[in-house]
Amino acid sequence: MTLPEPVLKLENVRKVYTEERVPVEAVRGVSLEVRPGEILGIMGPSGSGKTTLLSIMGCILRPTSGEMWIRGRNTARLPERKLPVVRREEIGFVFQSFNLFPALSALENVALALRIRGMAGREARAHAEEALTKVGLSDRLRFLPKDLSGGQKQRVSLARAIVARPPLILADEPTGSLDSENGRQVLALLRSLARENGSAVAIVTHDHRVSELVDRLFRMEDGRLAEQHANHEEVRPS
Amino acid sequence: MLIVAYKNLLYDKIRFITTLVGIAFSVVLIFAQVGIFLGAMNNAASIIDHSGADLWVTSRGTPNFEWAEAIPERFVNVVRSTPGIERAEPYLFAFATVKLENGGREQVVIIGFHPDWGVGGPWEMSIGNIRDVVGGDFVIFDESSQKKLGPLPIGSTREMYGQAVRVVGHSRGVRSITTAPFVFASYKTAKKVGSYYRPEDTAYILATLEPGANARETASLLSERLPYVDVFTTAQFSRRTRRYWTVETGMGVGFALSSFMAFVVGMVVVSQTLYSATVEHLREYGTLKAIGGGNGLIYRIILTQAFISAVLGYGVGRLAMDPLAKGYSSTGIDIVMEPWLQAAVFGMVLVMCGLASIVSVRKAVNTDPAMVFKT
Repeated sequence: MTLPEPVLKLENVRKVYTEERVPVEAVRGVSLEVRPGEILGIMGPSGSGKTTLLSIMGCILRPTSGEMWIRGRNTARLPERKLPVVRREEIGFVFQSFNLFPALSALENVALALRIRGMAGREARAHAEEALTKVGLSDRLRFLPKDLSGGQKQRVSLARAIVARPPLILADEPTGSLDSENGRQVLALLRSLARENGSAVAIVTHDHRVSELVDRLFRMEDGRLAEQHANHEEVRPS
Repeated sequence: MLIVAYKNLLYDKIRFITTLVGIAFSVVLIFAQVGIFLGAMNNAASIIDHSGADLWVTSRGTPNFEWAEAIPERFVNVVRSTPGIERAEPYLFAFATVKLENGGREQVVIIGFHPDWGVGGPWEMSIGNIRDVVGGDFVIFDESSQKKLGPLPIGSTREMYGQAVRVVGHSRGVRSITTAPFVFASYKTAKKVGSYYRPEDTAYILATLEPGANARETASLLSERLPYVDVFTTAQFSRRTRRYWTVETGMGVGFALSSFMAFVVGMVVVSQTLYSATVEHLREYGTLKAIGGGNGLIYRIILTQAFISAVLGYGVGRLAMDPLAKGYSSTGIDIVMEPWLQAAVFGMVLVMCGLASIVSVRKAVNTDPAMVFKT
């Protein structure tokens, strides 16, 4: 069986920061491919460069050197002003702190991701309602984030990430602010939704339960990425 | 996308109300300053503007209506004999005092006009007729003067410079920039009361033009024939009077400065509240950028917030002006609230809020979207 084209491809990506005039290499020559429907876990100690790598994958940070493609488009060479378009069209984000808009209801928070893409309000709300129903929050549409539990907030964040069916979902410590039961539920939901949409997922986490759910698990240390185990047979091309 | 703008704005109600109060305060201050100034300017030139005369002959260098100097009354014959003049009459302006019921005195301005002609007389009567001043020492007080002078019932008698005068009518809307009440009388009576003029002198000569005569040309001709006085068209004398009070007295600069300060205070208040709201929502702006919102979107959100604040703040301020203007009016000070001024103040508020949002916009667009990964 031939593997589908990678959604995300990194080739010898490096990121060097300068801290107090001293160069610090946060990401050292990372090469990686993520295919549609594939779920990737990246674990590692604090300061190992996981979040920097995720920021590069999400076109929020630019690599110092190396190449990166998202669905065949070399984003490392795109001008800065084009990067928001890539983020908008290709990537869904799940954050540890949820990053929901406190003044907006769950429905409005999810619809926002579509409104940014230019979808009309009514249509965006319909899709948002569908996404929230998928994450089990059909009875919390009008709730403000302050009236939701941590697990529910992360589900809203998940709904916002998947509502536009992006080919790539990047999750930063999605269970970091949740108790173990909620964490397990959110991970299972992320996995099933990604599978359903055929989205590739990269999860950066300290949570060891992730290793049970991902197709490939990587460990990051001192800016270097090493694969720990692979489980390619689970990959379902979209 | 505007939903983010107005929901964020309304989310912190206390801050939103503070913003509105700040803008409304600024609007009231600007309206009050500019409105009082314009009202004062209208009062300064109201008799000129409503006189119905075409030309004003004044003493040389008369800077404004209320600083009249004596000119020979016989000049009226020269004016009457000038081509293009339809009718010309001497016109008196003099300060006088009225004895109050409590025995005190209050300064007034007495205007002596020709009731059969009507030019330079009161233009609106609330009681009586301007011709009622004919046939005796009869006077018309402006109704607003009762605030200062006490009740002035028709038929009652008052003493002006030892001369008894009888009240025969009330005019409406005649106010002086000096707030001294206006009293209208026949030219003859006014000369008796305004006793500091010599019998052969007058304050002004007013003239109307024959149909088709050009005011500027006739004024120029008159100036040649009367080299020791000034001749102005009504529009010129009105502008001269307004300019005097605006520029020469520094009143214009004072009002402009206080209006500018009101503008600055409003801008600082809006700027502060918008900025603190932006800083509080920085993470959301970071999230917006992370999920693909461009800087244009952030501009729109913050400018929309500024616009909503401007519209509502202006509305509150404008509504507050009505009772305030009424209150001012009852003290004898008019606040002019003409449509062009309302439009101008609204424009100023939009500019004020737009400028105030610049700092917030800069802060928000410079937000690093990578902050979304921090807890």
